[in-house]
Amino acid sequence: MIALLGLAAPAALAAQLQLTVDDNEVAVGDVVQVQLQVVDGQLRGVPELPSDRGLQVRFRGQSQSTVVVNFETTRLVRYSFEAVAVAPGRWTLGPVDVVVDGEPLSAGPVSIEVREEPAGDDEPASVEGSLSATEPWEGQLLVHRLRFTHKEEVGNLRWTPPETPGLIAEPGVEGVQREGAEVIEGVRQGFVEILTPLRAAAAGAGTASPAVVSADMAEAADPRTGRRRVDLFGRARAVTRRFATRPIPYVVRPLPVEGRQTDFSGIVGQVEVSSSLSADRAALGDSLTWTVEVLSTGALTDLRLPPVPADAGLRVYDDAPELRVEVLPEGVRTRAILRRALVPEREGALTVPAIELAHFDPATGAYARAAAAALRLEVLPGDGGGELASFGGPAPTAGGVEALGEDILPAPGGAEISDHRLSAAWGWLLGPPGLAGLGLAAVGVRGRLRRRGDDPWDSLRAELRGAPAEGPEALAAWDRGLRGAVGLRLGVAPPLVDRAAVARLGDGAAALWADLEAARYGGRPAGDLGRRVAAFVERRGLA
Amino acid sequence: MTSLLPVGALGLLLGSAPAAADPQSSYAAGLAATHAGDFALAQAHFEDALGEGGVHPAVYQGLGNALHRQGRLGPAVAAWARGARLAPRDGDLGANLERGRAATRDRLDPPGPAVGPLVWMRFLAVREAAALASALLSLGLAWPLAAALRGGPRPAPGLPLAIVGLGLLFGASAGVASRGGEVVVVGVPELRARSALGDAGVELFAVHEGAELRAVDAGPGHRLVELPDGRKGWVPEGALISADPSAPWSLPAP
Repeated sequence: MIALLGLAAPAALAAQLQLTVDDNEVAVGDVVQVQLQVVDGQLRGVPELPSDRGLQVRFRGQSQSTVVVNFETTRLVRYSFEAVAVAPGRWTLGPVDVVVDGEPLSAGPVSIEVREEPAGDDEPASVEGSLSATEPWEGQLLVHRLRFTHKEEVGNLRWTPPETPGLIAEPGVEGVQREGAEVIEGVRQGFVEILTPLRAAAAGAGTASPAVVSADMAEAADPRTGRRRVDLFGRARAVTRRFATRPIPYVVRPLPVEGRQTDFSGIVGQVEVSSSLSADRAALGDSLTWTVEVLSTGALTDLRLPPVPADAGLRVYDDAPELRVEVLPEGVRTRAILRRALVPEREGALTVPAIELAHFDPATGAYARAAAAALRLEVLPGDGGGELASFGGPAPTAGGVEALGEDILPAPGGAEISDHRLSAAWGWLLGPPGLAGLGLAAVGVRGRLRRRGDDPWDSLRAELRGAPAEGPEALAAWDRGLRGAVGLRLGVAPPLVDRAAVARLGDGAAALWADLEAARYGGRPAGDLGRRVAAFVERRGLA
Repeated sequence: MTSLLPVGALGLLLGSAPAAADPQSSYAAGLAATHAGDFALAQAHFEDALGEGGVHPAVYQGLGNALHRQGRLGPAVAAWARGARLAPRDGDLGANLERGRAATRDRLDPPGPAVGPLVWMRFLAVREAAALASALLSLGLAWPLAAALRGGPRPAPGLPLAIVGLGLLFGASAGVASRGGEVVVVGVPELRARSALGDAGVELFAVHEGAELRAVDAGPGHRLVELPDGRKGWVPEGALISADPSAPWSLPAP
């Protein structure tokens, strides 16, 4: 049954606030789904939903959606709550008073009738919760146990853990979930048990809110026909049912100051300690393993063994501790195994020291000590230079010198202070390679120039440049230039160059040769022969 | 070989410009003040030495020690980190830096040098890598130069080229390391990183004095810092001290 109990709509398109519940007649332990809906408005934060003492309310989340009808957009913001009925009576949820976009709005209140929990075994499922200790001491480990029992098949099982102010989830320890079935008075019923380890973190009174289990279960039979409704496939139709535990009050007691030992380990729980050696005899320098096992109902996460006295004649190397935690309905059982490699440093009878753990025993409400007796180790002669056999670790480098403290190391007194920045060193960093590079480049240029001076083409050019402008000597110089160029091009000695050889370089070269011959030996005017020969040489004999 | 002498002389001239004041005296005064137990005065002298051009690992070590004695963990870690950047193999500086890091509340892994595959830069200071590069380049270039000037047989080109190549590699290493991501140290007791500049955004995480972070971006008066696990947030620039030894030395108010 849906109840629409609050509607604030002072004007069209103005923001509205609606408070709805999915059922307003429930039994103790039932869970009511509550929804606060804001239409066309926006709230800052989560609105407060007041409730009477018979209902425990918890915020579950919010969602929003937009609906478009007839081209009008409506924005819906829904805040979901869960109200657990914890006591019979008529109780009230709300009213909820909020300010939406500057306008005060109110919704509710809504009444919920809570009847006594039905007696007998009619309910198809039930849930119960408990704490392993309702008056824990500060620092004590305890377990919240939730047991869900069902006589029918259930599916899609989910649960919401309780809120436990002052109790925190024990870090590093996983909860336990167990499932099974049992037969009670001839009736078979399944169960799911969820154990959550908690640590009492802050002294004071508190109440664990109801833990809620939701499960899909077959719909109840029709009271008229006695039959269950089925779906298209003949399966019983399922509905989601919610079951809640009762609130659990508790008080976390502060640890007493009186009687607290100076070496209190911080363990709040019963403790047993045992100590053993891998061998009671060893040669000097050999290594052996010392195992200390601690059993406790308290947390051993930060447990460290005390140091071995410097005069014990033993070098000690700690291994990583091994921690095993067992979560049981009645509490937590923790086992820590701490191993140390021991290397005897002198012969004779040595004593591995006793181990004492100062702790607080919640059972007696007093501080106590758990101890493991000292162990005797017989050290036989050996080479004294044994290596660790069991596990490694940094060996002390100062032998038996006792460390009294540590401090920072002083700045050196004789340091020659200069600028160590890179920017201060560019000169000497770039100078040598730069100068070497410049020198190498200069040598390369010089060599290139030298090679260029030996170029026969350059010689030809120089000879032509030095030739007279006209006359027989000019003609002779041009002839030498032409022969030289043709000779260089064809790879023959200049005196062996003839008309046929010149013709191999093309018509232009042959014409130049013919004109030069005609001028030199036929008396024809020289004209621009000098320029033509110089151009021929400049082109290195190419047409 | 005589042709190389002017090279060295020019290098000395270029590299030894006289400083305005004497950082050696300031350093000695800082040590004396440290021995006398006046750590504030020692800090001032060491800071003077830095200002006078004495950007030297020993100065940063003395400065870090003086700050540590005054209970200023963050600035001490920053000074030691700067010194360690200049002298990565200095054991005393490294020990002090590790001690400072161990005393920080966050115990963050310090950002490693941004050298990528150039693993040797974890052990070499930038200046040392640059000096190696300079020496190798000088050798690789001077060898054929000397052979050419002497007029004798020229060396096979492979070996000088290999030396020059090695020199270029070290030069590139120095360049990469000097331009790597900046590391900053938190200089105030607690610093809350936000998702946006100023008061905008939300607080993402809190880091505490002495934590070394990589600065990956800068905005007006703010730096974007990155944690080793990849989380990033904006913090006020004035609360940070650069671990770059070349950066100006300035401290947040205690």
